[in-house]
Amino acid sequence: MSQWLAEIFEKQSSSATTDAALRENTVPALAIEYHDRRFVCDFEYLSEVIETDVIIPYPENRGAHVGIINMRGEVVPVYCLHCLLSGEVPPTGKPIHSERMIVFRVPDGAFAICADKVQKRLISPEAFGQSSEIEIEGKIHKILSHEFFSNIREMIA
Amino acid sequence: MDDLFLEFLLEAEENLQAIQGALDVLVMQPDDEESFKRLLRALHTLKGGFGVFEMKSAQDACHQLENLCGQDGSRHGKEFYLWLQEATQGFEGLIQQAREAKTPSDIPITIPPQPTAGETSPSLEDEFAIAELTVEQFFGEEKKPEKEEVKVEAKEEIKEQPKPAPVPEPQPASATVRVPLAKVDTVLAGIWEAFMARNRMSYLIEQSRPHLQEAPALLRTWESLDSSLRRLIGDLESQVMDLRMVTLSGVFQRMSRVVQQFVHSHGKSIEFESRGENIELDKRIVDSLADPLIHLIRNAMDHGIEPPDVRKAKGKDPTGKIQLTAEISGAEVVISVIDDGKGLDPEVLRQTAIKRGLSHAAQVSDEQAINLIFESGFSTAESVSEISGRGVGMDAVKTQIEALSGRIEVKSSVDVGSTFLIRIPLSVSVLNSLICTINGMEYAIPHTDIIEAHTLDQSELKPNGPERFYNFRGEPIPVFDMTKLFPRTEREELSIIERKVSLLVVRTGEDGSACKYSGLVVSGISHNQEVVIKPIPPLALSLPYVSGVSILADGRPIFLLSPNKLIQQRCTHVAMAS
Repeated sequence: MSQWLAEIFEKQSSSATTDAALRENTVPALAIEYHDRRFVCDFEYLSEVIETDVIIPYPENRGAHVGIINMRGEVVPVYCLHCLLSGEVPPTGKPIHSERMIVFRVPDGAFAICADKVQKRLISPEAFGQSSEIEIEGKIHKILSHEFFSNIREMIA
Repeated sequence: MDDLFLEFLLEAEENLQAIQGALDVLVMQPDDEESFKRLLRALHTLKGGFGVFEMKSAQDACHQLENLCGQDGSRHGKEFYLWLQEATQGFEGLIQQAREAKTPSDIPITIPPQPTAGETSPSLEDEFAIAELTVEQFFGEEKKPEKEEVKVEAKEEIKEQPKPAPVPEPQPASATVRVPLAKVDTVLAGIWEAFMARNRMSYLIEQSRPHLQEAPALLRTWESLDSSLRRLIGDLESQVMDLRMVTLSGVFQRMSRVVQQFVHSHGKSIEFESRGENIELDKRIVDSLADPLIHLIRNAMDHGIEPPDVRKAKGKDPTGKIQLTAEISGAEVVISVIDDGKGLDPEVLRQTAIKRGLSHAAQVSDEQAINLIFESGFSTAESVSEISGRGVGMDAVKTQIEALSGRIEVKSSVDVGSTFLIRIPLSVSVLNSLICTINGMEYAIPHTDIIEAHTLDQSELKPNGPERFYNFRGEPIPVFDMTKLFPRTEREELSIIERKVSLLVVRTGEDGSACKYSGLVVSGISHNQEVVIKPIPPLALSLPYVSGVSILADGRPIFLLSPNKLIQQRCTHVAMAS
């Protein structure tokens, strides 16, 4: 885990929302913010969070595919999470801006998604199995379920 | 997987190869004693291995075959060895299953019934007598049994065929070390990482060169070390790549067996010739070639070569010919499958394509019509046979060849025959590439695909309707503007008003084809660089004209383009649009 993410977690743990009583009935989750859209997912598939590297776009745009990055010698594909879930296509030929890149690793391989903000949040463990959205600190977050990660190959096809 | 079991599987595969190699010879020369002994030795070792891992059914099957072979090979005829080829094929599947299961299991194995006509196997008494012999007695040279005079005449009209190359005997254990291919790959990946690190280091030094001018001695030392490092990495890569090289002989011998078995069961008369089996290629390429070659050869036998009476009526030799050849041409290996059968009729293919909804097929040339057989679901076979004609084959063959960064094409003349040409790069690891820019983004194109690169005036591209042509060596060649195909950035809009264009002349067809060369307009030509080719990541977007990815010296990833496929896609889009 990066130094940067560790610092964020440190700050989180001292905030009012993560007191000991709450911690007993909750599990940590990763809250992602990108272009005013919010998502939350389990830590299970998280590989690392990196500062945005140069994203090389594909010669043509298809679905949620944004481009590729070099992560210490490993070429990793990058997706636009919002496009992946909404079916919209990222704009052609425009540079991609994002502050962070979250790299996930699933059995089929690694992939990255763009993010402006990444934070640790504590949520009810049932949330992942019960609904597609959850309210955290007054803001609606879309839940990235285990099915999302296990079916990623089908979703990007 | 248990190391001992892995060792057994490798040995079993070697023994099966030895069995098949010996049988190839024995089918042609049933009284070849050396091959018969080699067959028995391999069969016996295989049986022992199955016994160690308690694969009882396979062990019993080996034992049964050993008994049927008997001690004296000369008593058997061609029919027996052809049957034995079929009988031992079950072991291949068995070993494959055991490899997948990663554990020994007693998988039942069925031996097909022996042919009754021309019975040449030993009598029960002989078998009993053989079973009594010890292994030492059996392999002993001192007592040579008498030969029986019974021989079976070959039923098919096969001309005398060249003796297949003998399968080399395994080296003594002390001279070789078995290493799983995955370990060799790991070493190779490490070398490529070192290669990229050296590239990156070189880039950083170049960037810092102005500051290093004050220390010329340091710069000279660094240049000398860099040169040594580059050579050492190159040598290491070449040596490790050599470890992965195997000859084509195994695959070619397998094709020979496919033909023999077809001839045996279908009553056609076919002569099979092969050339170039000693050419060495990467093991992965050789392994991946078997399926497409089997498909092409089965197609040639089933649909290409006519029955003997039809051939006679056409004034042809009643015996059809299939040639399988391999040769090195530049940085590629060229594998040809040639038959002298009825050939492909472009008009029939055109009509079939139109029926399948490919409306543009009416306008295509004869050469293009013949290549329609590689379209998905395209088959002109009137009936589906167990051998071929299911209509899912040729596009799969093409896909398999393209997965090896290769290409396939067909040339054919009615009643003369067909030639399938497969071209595969010899090395797909490090490629000399031209880095060019298209609409502000850099792409790598292998040198092997580029004939010339020019910066020329727009006026040198001659328009003809919506298309443009460039006069290349006295011939007009079509020009495809990549800057219009790829996404355009704002910065790039400014550069296209310039009068100069960068043109790459690339090879897009074979000698004699209508479209041998094409021009590609790119935004700029940057520099040459050796790049390590990595496969497209499994979860990345797969585009047909992107053949791999690499990482440049400055750390940026880059796509490797295949101009041939790029133009194919462009032509398909144009055809569909019109």
